[in-house]
Amino acid sequence: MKKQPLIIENLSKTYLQAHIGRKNKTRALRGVNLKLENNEIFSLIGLNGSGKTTAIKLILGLIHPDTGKVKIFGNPHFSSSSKRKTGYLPEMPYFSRNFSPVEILKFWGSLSDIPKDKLKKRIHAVLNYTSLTGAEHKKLNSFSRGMLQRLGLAQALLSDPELLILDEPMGGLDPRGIIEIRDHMKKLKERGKTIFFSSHIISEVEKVADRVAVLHKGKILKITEPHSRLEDEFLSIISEHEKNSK
Amino acid sequence: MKKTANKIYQIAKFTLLENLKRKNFLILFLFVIIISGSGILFSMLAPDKEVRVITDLGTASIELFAFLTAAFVSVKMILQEMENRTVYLILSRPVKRWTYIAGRFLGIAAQTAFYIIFMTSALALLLLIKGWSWDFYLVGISISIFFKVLIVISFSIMFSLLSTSSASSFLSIFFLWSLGHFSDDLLVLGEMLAESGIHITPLLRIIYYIIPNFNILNYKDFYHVRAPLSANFLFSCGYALGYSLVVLLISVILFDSKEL
Repeated sequence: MKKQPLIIENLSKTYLQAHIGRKNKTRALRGVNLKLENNEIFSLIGLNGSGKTTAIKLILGLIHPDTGKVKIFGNPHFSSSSKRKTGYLPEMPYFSRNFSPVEILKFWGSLSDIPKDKLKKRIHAVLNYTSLTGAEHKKLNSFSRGMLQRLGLAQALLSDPELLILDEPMGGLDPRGIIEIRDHMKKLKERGKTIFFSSHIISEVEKVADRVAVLHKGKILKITEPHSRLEDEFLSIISEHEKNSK
Repeated sequence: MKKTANKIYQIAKFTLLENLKRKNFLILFLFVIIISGSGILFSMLAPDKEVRVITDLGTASIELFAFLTAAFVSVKMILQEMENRTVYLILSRPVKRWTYIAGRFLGIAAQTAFYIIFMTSALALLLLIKGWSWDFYLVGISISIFFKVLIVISFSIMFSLLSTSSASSFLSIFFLWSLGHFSDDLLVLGEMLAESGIHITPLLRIIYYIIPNFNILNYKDFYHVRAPLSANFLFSCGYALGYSLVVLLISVILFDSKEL
């Protein structure tokens, strides 16, 4: 039996900020538990500052949790085998503008343990998949926001990972860019990938996700299935929580 | 192990390419202008004096340019990568944090080596035109500058991990660079203060041992009196290498616990 792509157990994170001799504590995540099934699209929705990016950073091992564990296909999230199986698209990906997509992808590929003989084929495949063929040798300083987002997706897919983690993949995109990303997510699911993504564009989430978790002030309030009135449900869950916590 | 070594090499190569594409090397033309200008300016002096003045000015400029480019590039690169989050794309892959530090360090060191080789060649060419006969001591001076700058690169990386401001990182490095050239004077200062009843010699002695001693790599000031380039020279280079490694190790510890 295939292991679960992502298991999060009791994950908590507090940020400490020193300010003129005082230390301010911000509890970004509070005992989060999640389990992803294979080949599903799972979305984490929440208001700005709800802890979505913190959750993603913890999954990727970019920050250290106060408590809790993250496992990717049964292995600790910081292990090389977990990282080999994970592709990551950051919110607003930034690349060195003096390089071309091929040069950038060669570099990322060399860090992703892709054998040299396969790397060329993989670069060609991801450029083709993200419709960047034809622009593969152009410098990135001439790329639009949408093209950079597609390149971001290309680098995330380079090692053909089984789990994709996308941080606000539709943020800052125009309607055509949003449709493109949504279509890519659906196609990737058809190819057997598992996708975990964060978003605050609920109208888009309901079109693509299989399951949705509502995150508010670092807590998962509900895990539900998307439907046409998801936005209303989301707002009522949050206002109810606010009322109860007063 | 082979995979890790390859990743360090790839990060170092990318660092070098990134800086070449940013055209940082254009600053070297300023160096060429300075030494060419000095060639014209000092041509009215007697030939032996002219060579002496150009050698002094040239080696001092090599050191200054190597220091400035290495410090600026290291600080800017690391801080920028944290700020625009490209470091996330590296560390979300099977890349250990220490590998990233080692790759960046080696890439900037390689770039500095290229710059020093270029500047030394330009200086040697001008000196040969002025009637100087080839002297390996000049190569020795350039190597000693390179090892000094290795310490600067390692500190620049460490400061950029501690601070979020490039100005404060650069100022700290500049302060350390200046202090490291006067470290011997700290002991003298301690003795002078002790004579006046202020007993801080132990503290100054601790500072003396902690801060890098750039003086032991200062061969350029002794070009005309010929300080020997033998065992002392190897010890000085080994000291710089060891010192840089210790600072890098501290950087790795800092980076490992850093919240990105």
